[in-house]
Amino acid sequence: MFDYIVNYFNILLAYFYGLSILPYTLILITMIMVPLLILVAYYTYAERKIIASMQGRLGPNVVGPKGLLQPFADGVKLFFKEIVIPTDSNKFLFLLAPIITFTVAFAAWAVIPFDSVLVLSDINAGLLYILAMTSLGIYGIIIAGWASNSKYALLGAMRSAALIIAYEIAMGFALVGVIMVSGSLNLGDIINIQRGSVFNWLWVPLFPLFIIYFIAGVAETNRAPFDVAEGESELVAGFHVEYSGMGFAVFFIAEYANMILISALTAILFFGGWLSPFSLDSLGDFAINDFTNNLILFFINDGIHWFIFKTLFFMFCFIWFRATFPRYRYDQIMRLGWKILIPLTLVWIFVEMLFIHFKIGPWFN
Amino acid sequence: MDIISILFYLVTSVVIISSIGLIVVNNTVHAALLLVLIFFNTAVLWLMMNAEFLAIVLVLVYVGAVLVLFLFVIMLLDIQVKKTVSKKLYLLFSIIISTIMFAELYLVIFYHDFQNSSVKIINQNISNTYEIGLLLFTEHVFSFEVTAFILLVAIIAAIAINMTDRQRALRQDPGKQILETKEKRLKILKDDEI
Repeated sequence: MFDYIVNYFNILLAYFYGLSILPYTLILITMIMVPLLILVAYYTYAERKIIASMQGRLGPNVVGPKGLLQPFADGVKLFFKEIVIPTDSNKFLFLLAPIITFTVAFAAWAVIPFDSVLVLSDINAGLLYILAMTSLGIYGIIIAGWASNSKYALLGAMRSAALIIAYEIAMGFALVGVIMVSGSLNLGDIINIQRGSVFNWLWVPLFPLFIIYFIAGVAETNRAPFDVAEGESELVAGFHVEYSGMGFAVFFIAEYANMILISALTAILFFGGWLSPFSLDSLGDFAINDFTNNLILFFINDGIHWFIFKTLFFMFCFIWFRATFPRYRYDQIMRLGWKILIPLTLVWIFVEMLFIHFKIGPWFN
Repeated sequence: MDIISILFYLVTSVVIISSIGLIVVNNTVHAALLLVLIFFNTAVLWLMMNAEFLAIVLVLVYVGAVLVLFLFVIMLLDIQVKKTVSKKLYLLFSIIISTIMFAELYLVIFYHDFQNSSVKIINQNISNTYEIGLLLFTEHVFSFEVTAFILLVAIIAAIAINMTDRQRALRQDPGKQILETKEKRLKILKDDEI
C-alpha cells in the first residue's frame, strides 16, 4: 500500500522536476509548510485540551465539535485585531522582528529527513545548518525588544536572550556527542548509524546528553518551566509585550514551530528518526490475509509514521512539563544552564571519548 | 547573464551598500544590524563558492554568537548620539587608514598568484566539511590547538575580571538555599501568640 504512494509520489516528483527547479522546490516547501502550520494550529488546541484534562477542566469545547475549530477561531480573531505600533518605536524593525522569528523557525525544516527519501535538502553539514538557524532565532527576540521602545520589552528581551545564549551552549555540546558517534553532520547518516533495535538508538549511550538536549530545547523555546519570557502569573509578558494582533500571532506560531522542531530533532538524533523499533526478522508469519498482512508490515517497517509518532511523543512532553513543573526562578535557571548542564555535557563527552577508544557496545565499533 | 551571476551582483551590492551604511549610520544598533546583514550576505557568497562549512560557521559563530553579544552591550548602554564633534581629525585618520588598507588589498589581489597556491582539492568526492576537519586535525593541528588554548585563556581572564568584587554583588548561595528547612523558616502561631 505504502509502495504505491511512494511510487506515485516519485512519478509526481519526476513530473515536477521536469517543470523547472524553482517551482519544484517551492512546491516541496509548501508540502512541508502547510502540514506544519496545521500541526501548529492543532498543537495549541492539544495543549489547551491536555492541560485542561490534567487539571480537571474541560478546555475549549464550544467552537465546532469538541472545540475542534478553536484554533481557527483564534486565528481569525488575531487576524482582525488592530496592530498597534508604539510611539517613537522603529517601525521597520518592529515589523521585521516577528518575520525574522517566523522565517528562522521554519527555515530549519529544510534539512529534516522525514523518511529515507523525503528530505528537502540533503546537505552534508545539516546539523550545523540547524544549529546556525536556531541560533538566529534570538535576533527576532532582541530586535522585538529594542524596537518596541519600551523598557519592559527591552528587559524582557534581555532576559530571554540571556537564557537562550546560556542553553544554546549546552545544546551545542550535546550535539557534539551525537556527532562523535555518527562521524557525520548529515542527519540521514546520523539516523542510519542507529539502525538495529531500540538499543542501537543513541539514547542508550548518550542518555545524559539526551536529557540535557531536551532540557536545553525546552529552555530555548521559552517554554515552562523556563518560560521567564512569558511568565504570565508573575510579570508582564516579555519581549512581545507591545505586539498585538498578527504580530503577536506570528511570534506565537514561531514558538510552537520551534517546539515541534526540537521534538523532531530529539526523535532524529537520539531516537532513530524514521527507524522502526521492531526488526522484521524477529517476527513470525502473520498470514491472516494479504491486506492485513501488508498493513501490519507497513506499520512495522521503517517509515515516516515512526518519525511522526516519536515527534508527537516529545511534543506531548512539552505540554506535560508545562502542566507539571513550577517555574524556575531566574537565577536558578542561569545556575542550571551554566554550572550544571554545561559541565555535565563536558564530562559525558569525555566518557564518550573513552567509549570510542575502547570500542564499547554496539554503538562505537 | 545567468542566474548565478545575477545573484552574485545582488549579494555583493548588498554587502557594499550595507558596509557604507554601517559607517554612515548614527544609531549604533542600526550599525550592528547592518553588520549582521553583511555577514549574512558574505555567507551567501561563500556558499556560492561551495564553501558550505565556512558559510554556515560564519553564520553560527559571528551572527549567532558574537554579534548577539555586541547587540546586548549596545542596547544596555545608554549611548548619546553626538552631533557636533569636529570631524576633521576623524577624516584625516580615516583617509590614512583606508589608503593603507586599500594598498594592502591591492597588493594581495594583484600580485598574488591564486591559481597555483593554497587551494588543494584533495578528493572531489569527499565533502568540504570533511576536508576541512581532516586538514585541521592533521596539517594544522598545532595552530588549531594553540588557538583553542588562547581562547581558553581568554575565557578564564574574562571570568577572573568579573569575579573581583564578590562582596558587593548580590549573589544567592545555592548551598545555603538547599540546606534551608521548613522548621527554620516557618513558625505556626497560635491565636493567643499573635
